[in-house]
Amino acid sequence: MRSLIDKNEIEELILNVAVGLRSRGYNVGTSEVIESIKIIDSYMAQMRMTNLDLDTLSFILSSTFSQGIPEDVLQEEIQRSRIKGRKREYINSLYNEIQDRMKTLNVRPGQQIHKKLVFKGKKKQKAERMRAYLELQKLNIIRGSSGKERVASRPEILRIVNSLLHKGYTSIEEALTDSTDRISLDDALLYSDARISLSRENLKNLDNNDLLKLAHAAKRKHDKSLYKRIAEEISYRLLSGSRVDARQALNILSSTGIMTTDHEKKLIELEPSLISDNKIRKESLIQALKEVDPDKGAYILSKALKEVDPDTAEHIVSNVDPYLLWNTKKIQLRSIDKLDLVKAAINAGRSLREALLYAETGEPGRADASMYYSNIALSYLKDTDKRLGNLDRYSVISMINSAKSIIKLADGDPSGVSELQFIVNILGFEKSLDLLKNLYRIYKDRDKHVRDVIEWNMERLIYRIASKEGLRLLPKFKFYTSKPGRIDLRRTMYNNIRRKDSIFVFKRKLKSNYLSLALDVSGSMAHYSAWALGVSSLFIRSLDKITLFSHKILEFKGPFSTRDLSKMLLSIEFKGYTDIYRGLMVAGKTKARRIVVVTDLYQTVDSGDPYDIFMELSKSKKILVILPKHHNYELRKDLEDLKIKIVISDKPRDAARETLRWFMR
Amino acid sequence: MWQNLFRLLQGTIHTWTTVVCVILKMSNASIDVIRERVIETYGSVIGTGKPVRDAKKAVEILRSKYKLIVDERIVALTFAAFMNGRPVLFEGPPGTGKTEIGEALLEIWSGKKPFILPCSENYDEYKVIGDFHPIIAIRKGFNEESFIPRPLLAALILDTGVLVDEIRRSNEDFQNMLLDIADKRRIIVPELKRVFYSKGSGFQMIFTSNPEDIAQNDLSDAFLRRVVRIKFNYPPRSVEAEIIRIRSGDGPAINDYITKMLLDVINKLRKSGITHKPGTAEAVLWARMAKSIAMFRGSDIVEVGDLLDAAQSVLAKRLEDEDIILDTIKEVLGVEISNR
Repeated sequence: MRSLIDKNEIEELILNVAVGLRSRGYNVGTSEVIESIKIIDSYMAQMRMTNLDLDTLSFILSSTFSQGIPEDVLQEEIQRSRIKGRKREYINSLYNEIQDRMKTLNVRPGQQIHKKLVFKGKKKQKAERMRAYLELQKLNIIRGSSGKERVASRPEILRIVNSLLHKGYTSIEEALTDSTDRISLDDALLYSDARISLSRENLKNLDNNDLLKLAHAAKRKHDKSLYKRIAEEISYRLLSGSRVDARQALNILSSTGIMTTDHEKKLIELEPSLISDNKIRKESLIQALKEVDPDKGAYILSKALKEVDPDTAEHIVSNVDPYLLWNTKKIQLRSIDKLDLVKAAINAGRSLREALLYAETGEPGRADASMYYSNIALSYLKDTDKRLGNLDRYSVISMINSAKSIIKLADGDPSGVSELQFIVNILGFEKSLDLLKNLYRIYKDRDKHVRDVIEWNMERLIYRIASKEGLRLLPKFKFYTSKPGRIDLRRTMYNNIRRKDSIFVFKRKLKSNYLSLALDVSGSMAHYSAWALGVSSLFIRSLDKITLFSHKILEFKGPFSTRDLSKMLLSIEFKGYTDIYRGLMVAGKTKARRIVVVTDLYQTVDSGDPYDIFMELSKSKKILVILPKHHNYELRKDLEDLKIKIVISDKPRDAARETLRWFMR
Repeated sequence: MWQNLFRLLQGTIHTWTTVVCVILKMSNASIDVIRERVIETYGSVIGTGKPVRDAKKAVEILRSKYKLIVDERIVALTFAAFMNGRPVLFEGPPGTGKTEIGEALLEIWSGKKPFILPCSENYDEYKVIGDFHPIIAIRKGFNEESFIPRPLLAALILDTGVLVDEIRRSNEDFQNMLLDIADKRRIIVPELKRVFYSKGSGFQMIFTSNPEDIAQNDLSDAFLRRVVRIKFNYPPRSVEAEIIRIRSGDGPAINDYITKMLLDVINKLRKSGITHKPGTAEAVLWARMAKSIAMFRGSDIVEVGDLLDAAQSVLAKRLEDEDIILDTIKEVLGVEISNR
């Protein structure tokens, strides 16, 4: 915000701001107001200022008001308060600015306007008229369909001016700069011609193709700032998972210098053949393969390996998980021996994949296919002792043996169970989770020993994800030298032996450990089952209660051991309708102050409006909602208005990062 | 009879006058003893200098003398708070310069080096105001002779600032005590029946806190109402590059490409899930270490290999973070650190 506030206005302004904040529920004491005024006075004296811009004023007030009011709330309140006292003055000023633009176009209120006349005249005049026309159109002062446009009447213009004032704008330029109107491609091209700056908000309405067309137009006209803004919008869409034209996006992002490794990874996911482009580093492919699910990773790898030269292919193959090679159909390497090794790995990977599918579906053909591929792999392997990074004879044989063990277990032969730990180590989290769940289903009512081994492996898997990617092991107790709390004997004795000052050391339990987890296990979440279980396992150390909801509600009260949790997660089946309303009602009945909800927000049972229960719970509890990429956007927007923390993530790691910050506050 | 009465009256007046004089003498002597002890113990530590009370000049001094790039608004707001007798709270993640900037600002404001109190749970008035030497107290009693003044009282007497580091680690009673002192600008020592007042405006307080650090106390509402809270964050990239340039010292040169890679790694780690996120201080240390390694190698410029060699030791503070750090370094620098 560029508006300046005069020194003489400040006292009254801050008083009005305080009153406004109090009506919004913030506690601002009179002493804080007085101190703030004094400090601002001293600040302005220090900086030798006679007026203050709004950004600086909100910066100072956010430091002097004790409640830690966010700066954007302060800025809003300052604008509102500012306008309150000088309404007449601002109305006149805004109206005059609009009149100036109408004079440029030579029109009056209520008059019809012909677009052709606007684009007449010399270049400079034309640009000025076009600018004025577009600005008035943006403000809805020029309105109507093409060919029937007219200028708004005087009362209509005054209504628009009042509305701008109500939103906090004191000049036309502010209103235009902050405008979040979304525009069409034609309008965007016109704006670009008239050199009217477009914000990223303006560009959001354009689909990916139109955005790229606009980028080309901006490049032709050498409009660097628009080109950069478009690049930023493309960057945002790419990182949010939108399907942009990867090749064009690559050119735009690299030419504006905003390309990062994250962009490269996303571009490769969309179009693996881009790996042959010099603008993309090979390391980005390797990183991307680690982050996507294995099936997608195998697809990307197979496409990429078709395009690259033999040296690059060797480099890539040495650095990826050998299992991902199963989908590779064409690859070139310099050394034939190494090529044999890679072919062995490809077939071993196929064998393992067929075995996993056999465990999931029970189709006999899968078991046969697995054996078939194993034999081919062994034939390529022969006596080779070559090595390519992670890939060597040992890793290929491991895959073959794992496939055999999985088939045995899936057939009900428990002799392969000792291999399970090893198999889980070589598969990624999602594949391991799927395998364990499938095997658990098979052995649920049979061999107890095998069930125990599966549960133990699940426990290890959960622990791995929780400690590596999830919440750190939180301290359960804090220590004090004064009451209340239990005496911690060990520390007390230590202190006394070392003659520290405090005789007794007391310990009290940290309240932050209590958390209630509500997990959506309905059919719509089936696609995200691995993700949901991964996210849920982040909280193993902190759970007071777990509520599983679909159209049925199941609640489990803690504390939980990792073994309890592993059994529960193995047994969950994602099916049924979704009743978020009742699920949260049950989850909310807990002494825990924090509730984590993992759901896609699609309520399909007519029991109540989820928004109501969220609103009710948010009054007394802190709520965190973790959403998959595809979720109910409208309800999400409503929840954001309630100031509920929302985390959208594809991977448990991203959810963990955001959750940890929320948890620690 | 009247003569006797007059003599009696004279004697009484004389006695009481003597008593009053002795008391006055003693009280003067007691202030001197403590003040002298403070000057003797701490005087040489704090030095003397010219106070600067102008924010714009202070920003220049911060840059030229202390090699700190600080937002002018932060300096002006801090000075404005001091002018109104309010202590300041610097809040932000570690490595953003809160302690160093706080120390520098206090020194510029008072012209003398400030005292630094690194807080802990068992901090109390005895550790910061003063306590009694046990053996002297047994021999001579609890008085000025056995009293040992500590940094907070010394700061008040010498009119210099106090930086209270990581205030959230202390308990609520200690925080309230500090606030009372900052508010009223005086320290009461009941055992000595004395009140020490601040005579100048050099005695100011800056608190620092890292709100994301776990297992710490919250600050009470009463505390937050009395301080001016200034939030610190990681600086913008261009500023951070400049900070690295001016603080990494002399020696082999770091070109823009190396600086870019260094900042790429640092920024990526800040967005990752590691526990100890690197601050600007770590970025500067990394640059310095890389320079030293290049120097030992006999080179004039820092190369990627030098960055790599210094990376793990500077960035990995915890064992569980190592994997993520190594992955990030590999991703950005394109090279793997071999485990030694």
